Amino acid sequence: MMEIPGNLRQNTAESPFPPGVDPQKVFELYDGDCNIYLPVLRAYADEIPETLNRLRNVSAAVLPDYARVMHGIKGTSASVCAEEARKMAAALEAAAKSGDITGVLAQNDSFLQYMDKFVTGIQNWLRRNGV
Amino acid sequence: METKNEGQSAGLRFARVLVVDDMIPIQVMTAAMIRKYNIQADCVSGGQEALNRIKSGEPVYNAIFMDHLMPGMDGIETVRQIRSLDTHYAKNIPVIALTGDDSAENETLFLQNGFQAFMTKPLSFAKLEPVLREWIRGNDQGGGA
Repeated sequence: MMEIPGNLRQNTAESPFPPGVDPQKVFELYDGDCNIYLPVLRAYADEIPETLNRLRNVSAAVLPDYARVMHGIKGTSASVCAEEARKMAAALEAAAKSGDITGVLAQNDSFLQYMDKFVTGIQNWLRRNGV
Repeated sequence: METKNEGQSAGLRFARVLVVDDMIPIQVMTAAMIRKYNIQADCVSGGQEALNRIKSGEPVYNAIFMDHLMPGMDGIETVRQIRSLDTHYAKNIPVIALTGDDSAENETLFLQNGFQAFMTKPLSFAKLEPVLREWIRGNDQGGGA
């Protein structure tokens, strides 16, 4: 059974985690241990906004660095069981690695919009739950 | 009552490892999972910091968990420089790669460049435990320098 901290059990009408996080994956990866998962989620919410700021002015000249940053976002999104964020980051990493600046530019804004909303949702959830 | 992880960790006590990753959430996750086995885990954010720790020889680590892609000195280059140090410790400390890509090419790449094993991200206890069992020796079992 998942070890959800007592204060989180009050949210019985909704997923025990922020929108965009897969609870089943959290249970599988972390053996249901929120004492490990929640600090990782907090670190993600703290670090990702600054990382996203490095992606707001992408050009062909910075594609290799963009690909590396996106690789990091892909990995950390997987670590917090954020599958949609992971998939989007993986697609952009692949486009950047192949030099497809057109493809990157076509997807970058929507990715940033999604991530801004997703991270804000995590921050609000952490605050509401006193984490 | 002893948890499953704690019960199985009796043979790994007193061990200490170094986690090297530029992404803080990965550091937090990796270190926290390792600590469930009563193993100490220190974290640094880049290859140069890792190299400096191994050069100094203090503290002595039983293994290194090394991210592959990092800004500046990547994992491959970091391990190359560690292995070039003129100490038995640096030449023999087990290094386990942490990578986001699961491919046969990656396995060859790591094993040919001084790594002993690799794990794909995201980590899980199922991936971690066999690696700890195989590559971490507690200090009381002759690990380290």
